[in-house]
Amino acid sequence: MLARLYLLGVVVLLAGCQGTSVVLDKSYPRPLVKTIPLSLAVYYSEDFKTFRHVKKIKDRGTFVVELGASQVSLFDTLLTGTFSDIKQIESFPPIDPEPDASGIIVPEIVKFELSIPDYTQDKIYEVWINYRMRLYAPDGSFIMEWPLVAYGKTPVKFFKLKQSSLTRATHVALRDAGAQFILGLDQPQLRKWLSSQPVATRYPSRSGADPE
Amino acid sequence: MKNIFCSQGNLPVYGVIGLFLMLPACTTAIIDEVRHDYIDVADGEKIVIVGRHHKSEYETEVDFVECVGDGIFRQSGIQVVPEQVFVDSLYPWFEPRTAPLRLKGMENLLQKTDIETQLSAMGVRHIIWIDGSTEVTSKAGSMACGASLTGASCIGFVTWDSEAVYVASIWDYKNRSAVGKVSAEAKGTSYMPAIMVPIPLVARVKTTACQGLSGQLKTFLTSTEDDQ
Repeated sequence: MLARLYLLGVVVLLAGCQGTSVVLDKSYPRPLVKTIPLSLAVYYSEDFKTFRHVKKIKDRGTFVVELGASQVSLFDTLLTGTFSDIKQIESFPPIDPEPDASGIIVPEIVKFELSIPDYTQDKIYEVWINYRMRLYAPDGSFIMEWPLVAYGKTPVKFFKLKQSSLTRATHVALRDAGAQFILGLDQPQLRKWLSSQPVATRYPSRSGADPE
Repeated sequence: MKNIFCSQGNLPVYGVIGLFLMLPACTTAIIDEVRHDYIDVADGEKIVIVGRHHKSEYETEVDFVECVGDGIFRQSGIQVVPEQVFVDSLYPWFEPRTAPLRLKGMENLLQKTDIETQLSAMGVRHIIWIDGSTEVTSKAGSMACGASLTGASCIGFVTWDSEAVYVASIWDYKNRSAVGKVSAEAKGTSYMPAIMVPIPLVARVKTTACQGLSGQLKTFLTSTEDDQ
């Protein structure tokens, strides 16, 4: 019995010394927005699809956040919920122009940062993700870009593992990225481009929403 | 309204250590209410309780929001939509950085989006926002623990004060009005003496605040003008 207790103690101590790995949930809610009757293509680069953030903090171990699959899932849910037709393309610039798409959206991560309570003296875990959203014409020529800054936090809780706290903070940041993306659709330059697209006849909305 | 909550405990069934563990420390609670109007939760209508998560220094705990919802349902039978279900159904309009902080913001949201249809489909009319948290305000004492091949033991004495402060604001989105506020403030001191084994005597301030707030919210939601 005593030997088992010591073994348990050793396991707990070793668990405290090793790094923290964050693997995120891939389910995100569909946004409650009026569908924009427009056909778009989206391109996720290999870097974007497999993005992982590794941070070593002195005396605190290594923190690894596997973001790639989760952020692809987030943008898939967002885009399919916002536009009437979304197609994922495997190469960019496209070899041939995308005939059915009005444009190509390319999200990319500019910066990922995390802070832990032991490191900052604050009692919260925080995550920042800076995205750059780029919009291209079907032939791959650049139209516009806009920044998307996401933030998530979660407070320190007694007996709560730092892994689950950091996972929650990252999940909140990704949901915030989705919220900022939806709010960003209202910016004048993008609205102007959206309203200039001849969408009503070519790409009818799945939801039956009237084009604006 | 001021209440002092102390457990009487269950006498010596579990021995001395068990007795200590059964005796939580005392907590003091103050419950307050401001009412602007009487409300009528119709049959089949649900309410939703949502925690505030936008402040940088704290956020309302998910388990506290659940506790208040369970308390209201248990005492009144009023159905409460779980916070996560509500927030997911209205994504992304009730996220920490997008949720309306004032009624004006809620009005704008209702005009710009389809959330009114979604709220009606969920059967929700009243939204209760809870803002606050439970914090340890001060600590004193020290404890030393050691382990050897023959066993482990601790010695010392630690004490800490906790404070739970929560304010619930009740909105009627159909009338675009704030119908009132209920607040709960609970304080308590916890102790942990250790002679060989640490014995925690924890003041359950969060539970006390939850019980006080849910009880008062139940009264707020169910009382009519005739009751006064």
